[in-house]
Amino acid sequence: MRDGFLRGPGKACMAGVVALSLLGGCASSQDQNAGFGDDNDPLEFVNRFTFAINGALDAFVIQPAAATYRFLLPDPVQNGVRNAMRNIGAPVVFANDIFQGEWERAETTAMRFLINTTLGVAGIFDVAAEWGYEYHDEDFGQTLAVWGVGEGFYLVLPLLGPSTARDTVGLVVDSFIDPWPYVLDFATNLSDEDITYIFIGRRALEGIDIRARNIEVIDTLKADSIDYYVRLRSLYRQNRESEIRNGRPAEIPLPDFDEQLGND
Amino acid sequence: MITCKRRTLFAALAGVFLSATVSGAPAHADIESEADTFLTQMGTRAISELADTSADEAQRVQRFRTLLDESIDLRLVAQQVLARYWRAASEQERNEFTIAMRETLIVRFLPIFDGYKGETFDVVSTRTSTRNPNVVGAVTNVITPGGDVARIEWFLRKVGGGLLIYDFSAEGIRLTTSLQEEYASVLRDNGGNVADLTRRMEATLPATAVLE
Repeated sequence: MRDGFLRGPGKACMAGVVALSLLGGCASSQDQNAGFGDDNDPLEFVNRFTFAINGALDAFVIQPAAATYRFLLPDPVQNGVRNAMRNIGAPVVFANDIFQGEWERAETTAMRFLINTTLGVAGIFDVAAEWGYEYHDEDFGQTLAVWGVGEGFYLVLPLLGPSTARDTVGLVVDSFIDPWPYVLDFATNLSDEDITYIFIGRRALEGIDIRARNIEVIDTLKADSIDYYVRLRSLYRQNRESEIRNGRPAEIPLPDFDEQLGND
Repeated sequence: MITCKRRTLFAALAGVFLSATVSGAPAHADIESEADTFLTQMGTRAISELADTSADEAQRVQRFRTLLDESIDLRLVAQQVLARYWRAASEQERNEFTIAMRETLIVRFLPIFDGYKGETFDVVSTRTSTRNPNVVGAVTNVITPGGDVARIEWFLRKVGGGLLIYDFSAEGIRLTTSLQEEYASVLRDNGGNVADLTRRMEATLPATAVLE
């Protein structure tokens, strides 16, 4: 076991988590008053700057890498990469299923991991889905939402893109509950540095795979957008709300338009 | 006397309940059945006309434009998107914005039908507004080219005897919310100038866009 993992930088990180949690909590009370014209984006100036840098990185590095990845690898190989990445992420999903009290979904995740790790050859083939155990995602940001924590202010993270105070806390916590760094540390002679590189490589591959699957979608979003930053912010928030509901439909009230049109 | 009053009251309540049951439920069932038919026909038409590989791009764009004009209450969508800015806009500004928005929708959604292979478009549930029997929501499951099931909820209202869509939500992403947030940001920066917003929208459109 690495003694320093929860000391030094780890301790500072946890302090950051607590601070962001508090900020998220403060912001959540403001959310209740949020309405039209309230973007809950007090760091917009900084966010737009980060967004511009991310955009440049995407244009010059990530998008070309994703396009090359898609060009070179046949679809079955790309699907194998996605399946394997999902399988590696299963323990974090399982933990968050449990944290949220979603026992059936936790069982599904556990069964997927067992089936795909063995019959699916280390997760490359999604055999479990064919048996009715469909993939779903969970993370600690969603767990915090289920526990009643508001989303907090909007954030654009370097490289990682759109997020919120709550989801950023979730990212940090997920990195701590991810068992693989501990497993590698215990079972191999790899140094902390090597494990960090493996972790970064895994995230990079995940990112390239997701970007490769969305090249046309992102191109279209950019093409007809007059404020791409705001569009992504809106899409990110709506998508997160949907994920938090586990895809269940929001109860959108059906309005009385006759009354509203009276003010036309 | 008291018994008689109670009986009268009971009879009145029963009458109200029965009339609601007899006249209310079929009305809901009617509009929900109409929404089912409307969406099924629209889906079938969209797939047959827009996924038609023998048609050139200009034909597909024109077909989609006609489909939007006939299926979507574009003016009501525009009104929701502009929200309070709609009330301050002139009639000409409203019309120009509505048309630019329609062309934006064409650019955004027509590519979805590229390579579409005739998958199903099933209405899986419907619900009627409790406050307005002319407003109905309907959920469809659409199989995407990747094989995933996309859940889309459509919101329709009765206009002049027929139904028109005034909003939809695909996998939790709502059309009017997405457009409203983006355009509101521009309107806040330009002092609520809808004409300027429309010009900026038009600048993103292809030369083939119809702006009249």
